[in-house]
Amino acid sequence: MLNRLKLFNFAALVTGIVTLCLLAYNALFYIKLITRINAALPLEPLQETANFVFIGFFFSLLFHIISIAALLLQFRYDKKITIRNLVTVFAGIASFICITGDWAALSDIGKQYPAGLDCTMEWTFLCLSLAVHVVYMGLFIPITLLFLRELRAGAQPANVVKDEVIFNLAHFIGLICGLAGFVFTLLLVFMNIPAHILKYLIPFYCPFIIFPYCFILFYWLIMQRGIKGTDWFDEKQWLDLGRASLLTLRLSIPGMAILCLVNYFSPGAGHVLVMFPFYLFMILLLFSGCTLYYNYKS
Amino acid sequence: MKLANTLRRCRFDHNEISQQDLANAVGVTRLTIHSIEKGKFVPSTLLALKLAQFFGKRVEEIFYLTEE
Repeated sequence: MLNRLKLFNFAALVTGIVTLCLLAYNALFYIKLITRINAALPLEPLQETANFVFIGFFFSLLFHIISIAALLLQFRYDKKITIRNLVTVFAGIASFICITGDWAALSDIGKQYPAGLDCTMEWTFLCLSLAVHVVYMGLFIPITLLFLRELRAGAQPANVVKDEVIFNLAHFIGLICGLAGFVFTLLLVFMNIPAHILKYLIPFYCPFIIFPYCFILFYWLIMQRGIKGTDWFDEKQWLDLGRASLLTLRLSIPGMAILCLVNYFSPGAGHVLVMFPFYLFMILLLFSGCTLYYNYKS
Repeated sequence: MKLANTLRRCRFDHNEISQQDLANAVGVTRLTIHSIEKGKFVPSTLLALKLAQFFGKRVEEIFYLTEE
């Protein structure tokens, strides 16, 4: 456990520092790009540099996966959820989700600018996304350095028989993934995105947004191997999950009814396609939120 | 009627054992012990018996009925 912990944290630090350099490179690239766009110059000379930026996205993805795994191991070792760690996980998920947005925004600029279309929205997103990445780096690197220093000083893992940290963390991550996916799906509905674009978007954004939740769920399942199903949770957690399920069921019916009405009054708008993502993210948001509410408030 | 308990007092008498250590001893989470102490969660018979056994008391010495 200790070796794995050190290995993941060290790997996350190394990839983090490389990603930080790549972020600086991206920022410089964006400045070059906006300078050329403002001067109405062609973008072809920047093509090679842009390819390098896209390679950087893959590296950034790798860093995010390793760093989230390192954070999970830190939580498992400390057995406590602090506001600072929780904010870091949230920033990590937001930063992870933004990577796909960066990719899409940069591709859009490459297509829209030569066609003479406005790219303000894409620029705004790229700048905000860069800020999110920097915030995550700013939180993750000091936390990991501090954690490694504590390990070197001989900090021992907390003695906990029944772990509640991963249970709560999974629901915090479910809450943030559910909220992000739900808001994005609502935006698609209200922006009346045509069906042919939705067909391309849905298989892309759904797995990406839900990935952090699946990741922690998979991790939790690995931790539960060899444990009887009835012992996965303690009795209060079973009760909280049951109450949260019931409330989720009750709240999801009016939610789906609203979407049904939208479909009914605007047929052919492609809203039928968002039925599954809408349901998936709404359920995830409600279930995680309700479970956390019952777990902390009752 | 409501179920009240003397769990906090029992912990105090038991060398001020922490909620986490008690939770470890009876195989539940710390939050469960916290919720029982606050009277927000009613434990199962099994858990009540485990708690009583841990403190070397009878169940009714720890849990009792009270008016709302």
